[in-house]
Amino acid sequence: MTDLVYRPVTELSGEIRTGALSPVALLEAVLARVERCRGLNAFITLTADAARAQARDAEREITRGQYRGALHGIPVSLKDLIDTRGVRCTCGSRILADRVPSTDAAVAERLRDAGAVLLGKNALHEFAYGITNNNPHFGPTRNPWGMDRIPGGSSGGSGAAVAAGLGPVSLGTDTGGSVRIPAALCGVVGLKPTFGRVSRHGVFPLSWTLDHVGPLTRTVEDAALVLQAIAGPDPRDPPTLGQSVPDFRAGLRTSVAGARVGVLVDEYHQEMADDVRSQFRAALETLSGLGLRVEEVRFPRPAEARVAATAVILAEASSVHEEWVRDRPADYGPETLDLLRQGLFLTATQYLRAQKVRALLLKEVDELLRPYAALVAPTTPVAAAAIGQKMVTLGGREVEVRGAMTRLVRLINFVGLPAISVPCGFGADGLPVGLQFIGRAMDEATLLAVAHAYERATPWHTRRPPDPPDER
Amino acid sequence: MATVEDLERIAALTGVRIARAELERLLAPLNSLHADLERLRALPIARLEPAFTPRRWEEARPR
Repeated sequence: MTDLVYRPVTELSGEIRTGALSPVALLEAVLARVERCRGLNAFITLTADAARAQARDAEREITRGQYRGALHGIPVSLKDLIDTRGVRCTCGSRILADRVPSTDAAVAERLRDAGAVLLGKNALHEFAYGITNNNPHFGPTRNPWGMDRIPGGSSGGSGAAVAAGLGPVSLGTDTGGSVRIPAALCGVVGLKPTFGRVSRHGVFPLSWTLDHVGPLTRTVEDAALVLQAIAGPDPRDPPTLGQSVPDFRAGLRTSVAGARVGVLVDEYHQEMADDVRSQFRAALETLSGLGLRVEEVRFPRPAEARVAATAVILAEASSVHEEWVRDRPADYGPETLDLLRQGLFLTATQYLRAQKVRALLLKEVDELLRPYAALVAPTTPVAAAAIGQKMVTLGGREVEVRGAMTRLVRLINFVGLPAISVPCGFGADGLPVGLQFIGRAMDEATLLAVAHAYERATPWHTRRPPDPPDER
Repeated sequence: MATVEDLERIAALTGVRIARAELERLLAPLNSLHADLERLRALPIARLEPAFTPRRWEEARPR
């Protein structure tokens, strides 16, 4: 059964379609694995009974010849800030601990329409406002590669779940790296699409102009097929309107040989731990070996972009939470409350200045990317920190874990570009290292093709973490 | 540089009660952020309109 739970959707769906694999049997294998790995604390809510009913429905439909596509009968989980009809949605908070939405988020609707089986709701950093997943209300989520390590966040339950075989797909959200960081730290694939590619209707906001929804999966091809299911216009989320959705999976077969890839060599992007650097260099050699033309480029104004992005998230998050910060401060964890309070002390003109910097950067970054199939950098400059660890060493100085982990990913949210993290080896402590590809706006197809080519040339996505201690 | 008293006044304006000890803790990161934001004025942004949405599909075509 262990082998079954580690197989990608592309393999599972082929057997489900032909009847060689029962969705019910697959679900039971995954549920057994969830039970076996309870110590990871990857789920806040498990919907086992409803999932069993959905799996039986899927099996009946497929037997009758009503196969819906690659996600039909596949167990998926959702970060617990994505609304699910009749299933509580806590946002990892005490404030919304008992909230039960009456409707599904747009992405939950689309997954249900695709025939996916909703397994449960994944743990997250409180209100998605952080990267450790040390949740003061639901406890820390643990990294399958090291139980004393953080899985990253804020979609940490999603990363831990996919890495440990608790379902091949989870949807997360990424406001400052919250899909890509846990993907990197847990050794799985995490895709943040272009801003506006996927509807955020029914997803609790952290920062309206930075939030994205994206999948965590075991392979790039699985990420492509999940994106296919959830992408597209939605009048309830206006930035999604006007797009056309290409065939992402078909695009994976496009040859990338001869394409140009820009390596971010500015000082900002080159500050990384030695073990990450060695894996990153090896990855660049692999890309060259694939026939890609690897060239050095510099991200425009990375330090200024980081400051502006910080101002935007602080101000927008504080606006989202304004009433509760005033009326229910004791119901927040101290770290989240600190950040929400900081945002109250920014002026309107400071916020608008940050948005002007964004306008400047959008032009400069689009210009930079024009000749390139993708840019490449590590996803995080260090591997997973210990649970409770506050500081890490980076560039010879001590920096906060949060600052280190978001350093190379937050800028990409600010300019709304698509980006994907794929496993690229292991660091000194045997912990996964992630490689980030950044694509042109609205061109996930090329981004996915490059990432897929890299993945096919490396063994990292096939590695499995050790079984956690059995706490049954 | 803001002071704790400045923060107290702003908090009162917004109707949020924050203990003085907590404001003292927030002061250093806020002053650091305000100084960083001040430096953004040096960028060529004076005539730019703020970009509230990073991407607008209706105005763009994939290249």
